[in-house]
Amino acid sequence: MLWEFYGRSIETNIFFPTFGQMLAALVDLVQTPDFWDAYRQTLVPFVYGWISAMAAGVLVGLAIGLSHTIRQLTAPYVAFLNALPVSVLVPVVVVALGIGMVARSTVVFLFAFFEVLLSTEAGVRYISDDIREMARSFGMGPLRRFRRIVIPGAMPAIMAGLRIGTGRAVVGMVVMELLLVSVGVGRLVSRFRARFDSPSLYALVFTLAVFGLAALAVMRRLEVRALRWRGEDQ
Amino acid sequence: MVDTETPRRDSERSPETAGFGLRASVDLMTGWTRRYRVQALGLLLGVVAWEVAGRAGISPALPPISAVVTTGLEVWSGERFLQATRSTAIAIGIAFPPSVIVGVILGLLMGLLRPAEWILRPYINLSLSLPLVAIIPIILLIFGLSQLTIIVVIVLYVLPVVVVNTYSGVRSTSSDLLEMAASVNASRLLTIRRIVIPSARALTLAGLRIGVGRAITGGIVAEQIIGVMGIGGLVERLGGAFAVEELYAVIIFIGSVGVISLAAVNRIEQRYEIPGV
Amino acid sequence: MIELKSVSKVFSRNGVSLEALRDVTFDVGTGQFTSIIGPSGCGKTTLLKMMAGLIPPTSGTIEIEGKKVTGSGPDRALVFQHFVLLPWADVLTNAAFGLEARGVAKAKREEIARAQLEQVGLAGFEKHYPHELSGGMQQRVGIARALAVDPDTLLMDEPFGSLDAITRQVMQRDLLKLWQETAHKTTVFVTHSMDEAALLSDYVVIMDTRPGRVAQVIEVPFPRPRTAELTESAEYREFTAGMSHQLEKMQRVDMERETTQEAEGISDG
Repeated sequence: MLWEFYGRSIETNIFFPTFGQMLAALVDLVQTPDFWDAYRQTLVPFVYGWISAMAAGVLVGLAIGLSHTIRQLTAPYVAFLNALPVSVLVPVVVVALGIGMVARSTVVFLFAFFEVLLSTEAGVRYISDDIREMARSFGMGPLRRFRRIVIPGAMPAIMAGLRIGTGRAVVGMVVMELLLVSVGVGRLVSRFRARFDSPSLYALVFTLAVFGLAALAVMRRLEVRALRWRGEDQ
Repeated sequence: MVDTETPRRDSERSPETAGFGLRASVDLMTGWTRRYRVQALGLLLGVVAWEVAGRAGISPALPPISAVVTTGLEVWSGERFLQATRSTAIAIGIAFPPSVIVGVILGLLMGLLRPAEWILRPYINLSLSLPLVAIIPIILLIFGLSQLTIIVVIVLYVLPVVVVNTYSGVRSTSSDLLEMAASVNASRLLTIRRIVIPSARALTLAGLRIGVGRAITGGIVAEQIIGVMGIGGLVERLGGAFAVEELYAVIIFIGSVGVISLAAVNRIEQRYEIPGV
Repeated sequence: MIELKSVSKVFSRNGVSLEALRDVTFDVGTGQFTSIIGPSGCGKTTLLKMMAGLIPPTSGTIEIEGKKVTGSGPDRALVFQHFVLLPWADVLTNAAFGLEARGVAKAKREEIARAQLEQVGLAGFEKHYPHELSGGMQQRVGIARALAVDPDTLLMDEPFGSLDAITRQVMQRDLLKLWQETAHKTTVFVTHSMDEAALLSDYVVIMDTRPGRVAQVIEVPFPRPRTAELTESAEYREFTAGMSHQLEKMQRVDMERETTQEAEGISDG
């Protein structure tokens, strides 16, 4: 399908390179060490930000979901930050932390964190009250309940949150590259743009797209794996 | 105190999980009316903490909130700010309505006609799984540093979401109802008009709500990348000039707009909610 | 007059076939009220849908007034177990829906719908929405909808199955009254309640399950017009008790069969 689409836009125009041109540029790109260096530079903050967002998101999400008080205390902030386009926080990060590794990781973190948090929190809160009550009626202590009921019950939502959070982390990574241009993929982007080298630009964007899709595919696979019991249950 | 509303982040969610966030936020809202005291307390604590931290000079990036507010009042009435807001608003105003209309139409087509579904599905799925931001440099290349780029970006952000939600809405039509329609020999047209479209309404409105969030996000990100126009551009410039207080003021404004617009769309969604569907 | 001749239905999915109905043959006379009763899984709903023309038989024919049933038609109307009303439309629109499907003009169909709603006891509720009504009232709308198109045959699929016991009783009595006094149509009524069948029908088709087939066709011996008091008579109770025992036996046999099959490792369907 996609190939078809590309095949059709065969206007050999500076803005719409043909698929062939893009492919050629892609091949070139993959062979230049610059390209791999750029990705290496970009992926480090991505991984840092992504992992910490997932961990923090789940932990804070659990905390908020389980404790009424915490939820009420944090509600206005969560709501506000949720309605805010995260990219707007990037200049703040830059002012506070510069453009080094920490800043970059933070950007990725910010993009992914809220999503994971919200999903986790929702997952915890929407565990069937019946099951909770049943466990309590049998005298199950809170820690046990947490392990046997809360975690499995919230799992689908948490896994979904992690998957979507990963998508957001990739978005964060790209935003980071485009707004904090100095190293990594972002640098290549400006270079190609400045030169009006559209086949290379398209090729680069293509790699970003592939990366994003791959990351999602991996997470989806994990999600399915982790939720196998659900299938039988439902 | 603005009420807490549906997560904008539903934009990146698949329709299945979008429900989680919505229920969570609606619950937040009902919690709010019952226990506003605790939330107010939370807010107060935050404000106090901010003020204290700001005064203590922890970081140049953290001015006391009092400074933010005072500067903010200046900023919010300043010409530069108003102009930027106008620019962004115009871009969204131009891009959003057509995107919604076309999106609903495409979604309906996809839901009702097999060939349409077959053709459109890959594109829609793709545009939702991709990091859309990555496309912005290309759009930039094609349309240049202009308002048009921003408009195109917003369209690309909003369209797939509206399509997919409308499509889901159509597909989710109760099979019982369809069977009943078949039993009375209702024409395809009547079935679509009386059953499919009303069924799809809920999800379509959800798509609209998500679309609003995405329009704002997409527009502002594009502006930030371009760097010279609209609120996004303003934010970037303020950041570059290390004008932290102004920056926070603008951010608070943007966040508030987000919260309010989500609340508004949510209100509309609830008005058209059909119990028992 | 509805004639079922050796009707069979086999469902296949993914290479596995399920024989839902085998060789079903019986008649429903014009103007008669016939119930179909049987344990779960005996295919009674499938049979009804076939009469409605929504599902084709795998073999055998269903003829109404001598003409083969090939699809849904204006001569038949269905009433569903779960009411299946349009939740976003008011009661009047819902009742008029069958007519709207037939292309009847708005004013006319609203007039007819109004009349039917009055007949089922819902006068004054035209502007209400389904979610504002109780289950019983919703089903009345469903019945009004079916009657509004003036079908020759009424097909009812466990119409009171979703209602609580008391409402069910009220509905049964009201339906009896309605049927005997005004809407005296050929009716096929699927149910799992013997009491219901005995009260309302002239004939009861008892079906056995796995595969669905006709076990017996019994004539209900009580004279018409009947009243609700019938349920208190000794003959009624004897009659229904006897039939209930038979049904129960069939169900137990079926359960036993399933257990033995599972024990022997034979998969079923």
